[in-house]
Amino acid sequence: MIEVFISMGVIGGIGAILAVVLELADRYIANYGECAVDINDGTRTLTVEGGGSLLGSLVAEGIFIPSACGGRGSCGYCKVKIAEGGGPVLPTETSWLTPQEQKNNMRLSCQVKIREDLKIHIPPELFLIKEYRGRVTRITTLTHDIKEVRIKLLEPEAIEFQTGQYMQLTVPEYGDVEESVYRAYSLSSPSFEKDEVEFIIRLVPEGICTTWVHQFLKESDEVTVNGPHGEFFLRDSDKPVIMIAGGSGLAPFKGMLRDLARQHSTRKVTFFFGAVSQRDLYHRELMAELEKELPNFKFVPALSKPAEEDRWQGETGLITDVVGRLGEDIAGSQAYLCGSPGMIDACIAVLTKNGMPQAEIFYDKFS
Amino acid sequence: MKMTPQLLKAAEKMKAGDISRDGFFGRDERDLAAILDEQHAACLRLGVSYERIAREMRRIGHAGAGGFGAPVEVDGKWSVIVDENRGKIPCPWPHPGVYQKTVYTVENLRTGRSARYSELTIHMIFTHGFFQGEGAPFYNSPATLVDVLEIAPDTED
Ligand SMILES: Cc1cc2nc3c(=O)[nH]c(=O)nc-3n(C[C@H](O)[C@H](O)[C@H](O)COP(=O)(O)OP(=O)(O)OC[C@H]3O[C@@H](n4cnc5c(N)ncnc54)[C@H](O)[C@@H]3O)c2cc1C
Ligand code: FES
Ligand SMILES: [Zn+2]
Repeated sequence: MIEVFISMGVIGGIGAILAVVLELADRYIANYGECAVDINDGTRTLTVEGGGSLLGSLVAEGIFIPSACGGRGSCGYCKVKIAEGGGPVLPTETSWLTPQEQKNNMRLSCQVKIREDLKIHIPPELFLIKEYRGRVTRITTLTHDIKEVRIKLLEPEAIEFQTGQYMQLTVPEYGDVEESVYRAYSLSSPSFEKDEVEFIIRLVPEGICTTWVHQFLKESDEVTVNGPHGEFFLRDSDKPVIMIAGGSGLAPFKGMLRDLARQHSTRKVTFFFGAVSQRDLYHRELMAELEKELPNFKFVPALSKPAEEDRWQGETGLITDVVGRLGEDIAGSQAYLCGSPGMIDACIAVLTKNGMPQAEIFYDKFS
Repeated sequence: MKMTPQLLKAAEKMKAGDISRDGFFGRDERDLAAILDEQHAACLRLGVSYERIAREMRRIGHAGAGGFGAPVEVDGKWSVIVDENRGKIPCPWPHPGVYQKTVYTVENLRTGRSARYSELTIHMIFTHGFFQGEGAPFYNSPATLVDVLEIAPDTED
């Protein structure tokens, strides 16, 4: 029996060594030369050094394919259609691709190595995503765990986006973090501010990016962001708007409300902001100013567990209870949600129960 | 247990600064296989499978989710705070799977003792029997979890 285990161990060990040797050989010895990547039937053709991942090569050329795991094959977001080349689908991809997607030649671009010329198809809007170098002009502490970061764009100097979209902030190497990573943050600035972008960032326990933002990032530091991404923006309509947010979810609504104020909008907007206690509330002065500028805007902060010293006079209860109290009055409105997935799911349940069609409820599905 | 190719790959991803700021080993300098062996043995001694520990972590943690960050009393025994963050983190093992960056803090109201763990912690315990190295963020020993979550030994059937 022991012999069986020893031989299994030896075989396992040899397998592991072989895998490492093959990986190293592929990385350092194999020479695939230059390969051409044709995108969307000649819309763009890249000439890249063979051997790298398709995702990495596209990003290096400024084409930002979505990714939540940084190319580790564990998020399934980086799918592209490969019309020619790319080799067979790898075992690391199969569980992310439906049989239909495999039939349509969809692949995880982070897993595909460029070893030959490729023809690929990507959604054309991905061409609009750019990388920006910027300088931090202001960091404001909004609450005990939320900071607002404002960045002046240096190169390119201006950005086109729809208010409510998000960007990805690059975290440079720091401490034990030896490879830069990026994280998504909603733009809290409106689209008419083209030379500066702003984000509202909440500290996540032991988080890589948020620790860097909260403890290391300083005013006048240079940073890199890419975007815009996402489809969260205010739809053109006269329907009353219900905005619901918690925590850093206030960010896109700050931009949207500033946009509406600039347009002197008379659209009816009610913004429900849920927090635990007063120490989690922020931007109340800004909301009061916006209430003066926008005749049909109302800000409704609600605390689920106000502290005694808060002497809270406003709405109390979970944000879902507060929204639920509106009853069927909401049926003809549109709702925009930003916050944790749990809060979003619970709000969708309340809204649809009160007669709002799913098609009138908007949120960042990616989050 | 030996360090298989799978475990070697997982251990590489577990280093501080790769997918987790502080990594998964904490102060523990043993290899992953040795940690897994020791933690499986600890579960056997406690008479509770690691799958059941993870199921209780999930049940009690998820029961607190409706508080949106405020403490929720669960079963009259625990006060649970759920800090649900946007974004997902992958498991260090080489398989598909990303887990919400949710952090659960469970306090046993009777003893005052508490455990803090994430959605990824629950997955790693349930699927891999891995409680992380002592000193890692979100590390709890099997004994701590059995104590805080009041898990009785498995019954033979
Ligand atoms: C579309 C979108 C928009 C977003 N907009 C915003 C926004 O406007 N503002 C904002 O603040 N955030 C926003 N986010 C969230 C943001 O992208 C990040 O996910 C978040 O800030 C956390 O990043 P981080 O690097 O600090 O945490 P990470 O380091 O990625 O994750 C930390 C978490 O991972 C888990 N974890 C780490 N290590 C371990 C371990 N050893 N054991 C067990 N578990 C572990 C824990 O849950 C821990 O809390 C958005 C996300 C998306 C997808
Ligand atoms: S980038 Fe996450 S699976 Fe490819
Ligand atoms: Zn796993």
